[in-house]
Amino acid sequence: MSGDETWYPLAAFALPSCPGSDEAVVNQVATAVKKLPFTREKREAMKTAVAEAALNGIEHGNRFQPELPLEIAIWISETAVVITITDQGNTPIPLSVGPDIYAKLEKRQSPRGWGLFLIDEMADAWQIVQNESQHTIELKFDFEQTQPK
Amino acid sequence: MYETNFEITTRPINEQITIIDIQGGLTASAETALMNAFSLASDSGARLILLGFDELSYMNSSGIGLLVRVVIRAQRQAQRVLAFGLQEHFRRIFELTRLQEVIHVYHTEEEARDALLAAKDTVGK
Repeated sequence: MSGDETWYPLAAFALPSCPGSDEAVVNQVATAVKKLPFTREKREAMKTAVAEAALNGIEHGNRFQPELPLEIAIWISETAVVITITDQGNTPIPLSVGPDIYAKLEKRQSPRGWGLFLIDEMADAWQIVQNESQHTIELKFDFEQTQPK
Repeated sequence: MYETNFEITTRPINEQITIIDIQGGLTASAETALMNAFSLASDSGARLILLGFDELSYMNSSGIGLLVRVVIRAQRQAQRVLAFGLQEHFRRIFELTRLQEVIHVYHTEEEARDALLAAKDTVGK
């Protein structure tokens, strides 16, 4: 989160890093932002970006160790929401090459590897913040129509 | 702990076309069920595999990876994979990933059936 805006906490929670937690994260985030001014299309985009960020943290960061929490925080400003998803990993997140369906069909790429591509398509802005013991993916979604003061 | 709910069923339409309905979430949890359904359809001689997404509620990149694997298997066996019933957001994902270039998407089951049955004599060519 950057810029001149003031950010306020909207919700925070943590879930164990096990298969299926990504969908639980999506459902909790969707509930938290239910009353905010997003179109249906942007809500669906948010759900996919959150799913991929959560899956990334569960798989690559916390390596499916359920005792390691996946921490989610939602922040709100006058113009946008930022969702942060933090895992306890300390190795660099692999920034995959651009996925190519035909390379995958010819087995030159893994069938997987769509996550960051989808995040990039779905979020209005995003970044990965990494320190010695955690990765955090920040996802920003602008409100559709900001009402003037 | 947080299992993704899904149900995968097969519906043979005729000797060449089988529908695989995917209900609920398409994630890594569905791998065995989806691959078993594909094998069942293939073993019965189906050349066209029609994926039914009317009741799809959730799909992550693991699920997309499963669809890529289904297409790989189908191409190896000279089968075609098609789909119907995708909600607008999932259609967008098909477009972005270019899955729609290798899995032809119909809007509805009826549209898919009509098109495939009309083209019956071209199946397998």
